[in-house]
Amino acid sequence: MTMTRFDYIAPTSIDEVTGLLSSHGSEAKILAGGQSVVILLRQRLLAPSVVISLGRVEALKGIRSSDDGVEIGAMTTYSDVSRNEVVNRVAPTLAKAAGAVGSRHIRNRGTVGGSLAHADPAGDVPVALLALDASIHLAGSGTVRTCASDDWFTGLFEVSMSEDEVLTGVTIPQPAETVRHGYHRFSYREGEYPMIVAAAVLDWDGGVCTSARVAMGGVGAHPVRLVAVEDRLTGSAVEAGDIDAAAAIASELVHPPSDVRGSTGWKRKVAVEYMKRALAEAARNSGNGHG
Amino acid sequence: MADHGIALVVNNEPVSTTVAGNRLLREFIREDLGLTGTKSACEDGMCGACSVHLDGDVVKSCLILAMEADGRTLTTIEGLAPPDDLHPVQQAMIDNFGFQCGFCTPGFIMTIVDILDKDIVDDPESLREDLVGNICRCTGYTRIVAAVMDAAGRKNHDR
Repeated sequence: MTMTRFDYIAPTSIDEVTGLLSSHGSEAKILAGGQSVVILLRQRLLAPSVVISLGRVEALKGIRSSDDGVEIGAMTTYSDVSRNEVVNRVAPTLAKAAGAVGSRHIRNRGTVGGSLAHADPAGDVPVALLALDASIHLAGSGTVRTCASDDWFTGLFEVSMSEDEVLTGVTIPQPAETVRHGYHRFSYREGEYPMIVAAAVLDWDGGVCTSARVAMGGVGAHPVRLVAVEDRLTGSAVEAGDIDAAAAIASELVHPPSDVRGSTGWKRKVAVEYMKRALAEAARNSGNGHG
Repeated sequence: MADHGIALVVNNEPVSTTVAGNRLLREFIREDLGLTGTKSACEDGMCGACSVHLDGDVVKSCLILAMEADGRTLTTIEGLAPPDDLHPVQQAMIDNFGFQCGFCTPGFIMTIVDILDKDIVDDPESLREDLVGNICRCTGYTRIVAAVMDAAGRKNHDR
């Protein structure tokens, strides 16, 4: 199927982007890396009259360290994220997630902002950013605001962003030295969209987990945090028994959709197993003396 | 809706023309520029037959609008080496029988050149993971992997 005709506009500043969004309203679609949007255009699931490309907005590209943490521009590609030294040191979960997306072709084009705005239920990068407690930055006409990743995902491919807003970047809070990460994903073959994604970010003090963020993808309409699992792990040493108890809780919380790749029941078992692996990885690296 | 002006460098030659906003880069390359070495197969970003280099990075030209290449540098299989010469990766594919029907070969070669330009290739298993974006239905991949290892070895030898 061929795409409907549209005008292509490539502004160079965020102000121009928000101006175009307010004048074109729902007729406009933002194009970031395009690795999902171009397919949706071809399938005519999207039929905008104007496509606004962000490819020339230099202010949206790049990775910077600040006192608040690591800031990543919305148009920074998966390749740049996965190869970045600061991201690998501060947020290895995100480096691993970005490096796991598709193939190198896709990673060379696909962007952090695009993945968050698209919000695939099993997107690698959205799950990692949720586990990392990232803040998401948005610009509208004359306004800027920040949304916590906890409040970002609102439904199937739906996020808390309005038609006249553009996602400008994310900030990952500077983690304590004692934070450890775990990230595991299941797909039938490399390069395929993951069926299940699990990310764990645990903080430690003297062999005890003092705080936990556990996020999963592919287990519902959008990436989710498993708060009851986090509560069970906090205050424990995350030993094998704790991980099993957390798994039992997770099994009640996750509802992967039945599809060609598997039934809900089987996918739930896979999801719980991959969550356990992510937890074990974050515990193994913690020096808690176990694992 | 009027066509848009586009100016880019294609295989070291400046190109300036007009194109519709909804033209795919793959269609632009094959139908407007007549460079049919870039293949079209799945049209969905899975097979890698349409792989080209945009500003030195391998990408799938079926997932990019032509206008996104405005002002950029595009290299297709035709531009890898002078007309009477072969790129070392092309030669390695011949020497190692890295293709049968040859349809996927231009896409594979563009991907392999990107890998060898940017990464150190010393392990056939991790190389296979790096080739997941390209599909071949003839060779079973073994000969392609052999060609890449050969090309990587020659490159290291030349350093």
